[in-house]
Amino acid sequence: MEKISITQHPSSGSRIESDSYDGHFEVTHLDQAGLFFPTLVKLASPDVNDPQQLDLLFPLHSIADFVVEQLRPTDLNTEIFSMSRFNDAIHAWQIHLQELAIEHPPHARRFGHLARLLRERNALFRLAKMYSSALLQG
Amino acid sequence: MRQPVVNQDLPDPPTRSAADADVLRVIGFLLLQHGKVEQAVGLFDALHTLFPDDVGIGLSLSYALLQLGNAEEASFLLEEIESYSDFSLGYSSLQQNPCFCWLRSQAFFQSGQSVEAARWMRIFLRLRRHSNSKVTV
Repeated sequence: MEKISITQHPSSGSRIESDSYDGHFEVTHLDQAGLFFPTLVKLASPDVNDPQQLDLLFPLHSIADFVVEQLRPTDLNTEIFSMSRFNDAIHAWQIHLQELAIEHPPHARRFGHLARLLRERNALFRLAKMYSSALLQG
Repeated sequence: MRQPVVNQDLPDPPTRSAADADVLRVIGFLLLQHGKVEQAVGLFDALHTLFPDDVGIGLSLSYALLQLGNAEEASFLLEEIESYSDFSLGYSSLQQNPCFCWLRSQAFFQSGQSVEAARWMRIFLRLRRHSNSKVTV
């Protein structure tokens, strides 16, 4: 049975090695402590004087990605991603927004706009579910 | 044109706590991520009216407005956030928050004020160099 090993490579970070193939793979799961993540600073070419600055360019694809990442809500209660909690929360907000729109006419348009957006509950839940799955997968 | 958020005739403090807005924050973030900027503006605009002290919501609204090319209103909002924010999301001040500085830079740039835009971009780059992956919003 073929064994695949993942080893650190000085230039490219990691590589997969195999000696033979007989149709079966045995994938060895390593301890998390043993996992190797390429150190970004090693990606700098030798003629770069300040590898730390280059390092900053790689964690995210662009400055806009970095900024959006900064806007990500944190400290969330993950229970909101269950369908019943999500639907309850959206429903409660719809009622609350309708009340606010009546009580505060200058802002009625704002609250009405958001209440209308929340009518797309199923589509919003699918979006939120994808997001929570991505969070779980790191 | 949409009226800027002003601090007059704001609704009473919502009966719901800020934590109850989590689901709306997530939806707003996802709308931004998926390029549904107009919907994101609508959502964050209403949230900002309800939670005017929430810097994260204010910055998200500013970002969405800039994505729509509405630099004037984004600038107004950023100045508003700066003036009354008592906290700055884990940074010592809003001026130490790289996201805020980038938004300021973009707002000035879109308004054609390139000198101020460059100044804020330099601050952003310096902050990002020192706090590469700080995510606190």
